Amino acid sequence: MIFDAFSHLYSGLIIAMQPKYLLYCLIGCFWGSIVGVLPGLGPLAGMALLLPLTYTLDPTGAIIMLSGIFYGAMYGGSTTSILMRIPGEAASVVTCIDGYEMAKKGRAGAALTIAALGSFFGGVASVFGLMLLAPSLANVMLAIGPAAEFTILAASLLISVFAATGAPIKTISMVILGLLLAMIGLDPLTATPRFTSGSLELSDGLNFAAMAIGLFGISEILMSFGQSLSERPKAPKMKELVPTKLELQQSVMPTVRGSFIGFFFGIVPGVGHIVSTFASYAVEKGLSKNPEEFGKGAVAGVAGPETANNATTGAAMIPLLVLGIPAIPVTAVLLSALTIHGVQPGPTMITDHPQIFWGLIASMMVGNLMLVLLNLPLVGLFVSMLRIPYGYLAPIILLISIIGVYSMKASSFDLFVMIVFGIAGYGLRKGGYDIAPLLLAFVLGDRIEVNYRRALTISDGEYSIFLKGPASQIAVASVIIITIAILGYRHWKRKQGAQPAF
Amino acid sequence: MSEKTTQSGWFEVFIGFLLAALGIYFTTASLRLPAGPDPSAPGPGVAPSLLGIALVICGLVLAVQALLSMRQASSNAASATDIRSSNISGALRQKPFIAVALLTITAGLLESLGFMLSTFLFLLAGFILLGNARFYAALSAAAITSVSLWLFFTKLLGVGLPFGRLVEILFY
Repeated sequence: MIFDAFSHLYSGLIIAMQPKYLLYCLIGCFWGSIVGVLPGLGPLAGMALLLPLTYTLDPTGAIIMLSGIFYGAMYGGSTTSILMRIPGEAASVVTCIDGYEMAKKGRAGAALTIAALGSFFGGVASVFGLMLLAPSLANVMLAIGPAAEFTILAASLLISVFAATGAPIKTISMVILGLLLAMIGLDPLTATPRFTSGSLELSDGLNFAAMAIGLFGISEILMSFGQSLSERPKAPKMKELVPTKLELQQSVMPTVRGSFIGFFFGIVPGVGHIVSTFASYAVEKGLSKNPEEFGKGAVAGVAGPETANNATTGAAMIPLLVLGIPAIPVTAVLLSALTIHGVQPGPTMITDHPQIFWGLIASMMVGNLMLVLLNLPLVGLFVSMLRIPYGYLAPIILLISIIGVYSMKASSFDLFVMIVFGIAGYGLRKGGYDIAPLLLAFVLGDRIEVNYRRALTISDGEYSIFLKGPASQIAVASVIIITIAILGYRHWKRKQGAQPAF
Repeated sequence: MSEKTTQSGWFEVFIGFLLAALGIYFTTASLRLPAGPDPSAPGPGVAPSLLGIALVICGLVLAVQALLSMRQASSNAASATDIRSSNISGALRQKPFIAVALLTITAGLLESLGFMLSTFLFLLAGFILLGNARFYAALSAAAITSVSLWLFFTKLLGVGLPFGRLVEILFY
């Protein structure tokens, strides 16, 4: 089996090394690094903005480019965390703690290199895990019927409710709203028009890209007007990027542990990067002989979470590619991109579209190497981008959103959908709502409803079918275990008088 | 209780009621859809009506929670000093609204004015109103950016962008 996986990886490398795919990967990594560096623009917004432009590419090229944005953003987020104590994206919050302290001690360059190497190893380790685990898991998934699929999908949404940052009732309303919005258009089983108000544009349902760009791209830009960078960051010189022997030694074991922690949390649907980085930080602090150094510039406090961050990125591809379940909203964008190209991620993807599956895996390895080679020498360029006033950047990003949405169907209607969801996203975020579960529910809504109805037809209206079979029972048990773990962690943190990280 | 807390409290109440209203819309609209012959074959109206009712409940709970927490904050603040300061200036608060207005106008004019002209005007206004740029600097930056973006997307990426009805009338 391992030999087979490596043989497939080799064929994937032949695809990924084709000049056009290398170019797509480079564009994705570069754009991802930019959106990761710029505070306020996360991977989701970065991917959503370029999503419509990938429609002109072939499916392999599209997913290679979008994945490049994903792990590029995860990678780029560490730069501002270390240099300015501003997380480029939410998963880099932990890196701020010790990364910035290292920078204050004049070790910014070393911190950036340790973060870069950790991200590289975490990314590559997770890709190996994905490569070895995916084929076996796909075989198990092939035997699953509509009832079990419904339970697994519903379970992943439930986990996302408990793992979200907002109040549970707010997240539940976002999930319900996402499911309802997914029902706009023709009913998938009977083709009855639902909630279209006679509009032809709505009969195909809401345009995913317009909605995602509005909710995440536009709303993030609107939110960012209230923020200003008080500090002018300084890029480290090339020679300052080299860590000392001691710093490298101190980062080895946190990198190994971070790879495992990140991979584990990446597989679990609905959990994601924030949990994995905080878990890695907690483990490193717990295992350290000098825990008092954490918060004052501990190397392990940078290496562990940064490794876990990128390991989660690779592992999050497993639920997407093998189960067809986007574990986190970012992979929901990937799912949408693949579906638009006629590729349905799921257990049959490895056999039906091996060139896309193995090409993507191989490109992730190549992309992780590209990021190390790209980010360290270009750190000065990324830092100089932070000096551009936001008032100049915002109109350009808004314009790219307009081009992206309009270019899909040449439809002004979709532009208004984007604006409405931009306003809605801005308002909901101002009101303390986590809007990521809304997008996740929107993407899964169709499948959840179809499987729910098919399962009830099979069981003759018997609801117990949703709990029959090992797959459903494992899904339900996972929800219970993960929910207890998350609630237990929050209770423990509050008992200590601290604010839980998630 | 500070003015800012009151505003955010009322805003949360508003979102709660808005969600409830959306729930009512989805529920009533789905009641007009076929529910299916029997429970063993649910029709297209079943799931949305159940979800609509759930959204109404969630929205109302959220609105009531927000009202209660405002009441709580008001009694707690009775003896406290009223703080009316905000770290975000009035100009910064207006920028999201300006951005939305510019986006809406551009979306409306894109097909009539064409990509080049509408995006040039969008950028010009954006650089001045959002970036506080001087007129001539904004003019040149808007011209360069709109032409560069046009060339990048149409020539390099092969994306079709509209010339606009105005250009068609004037030149064809």
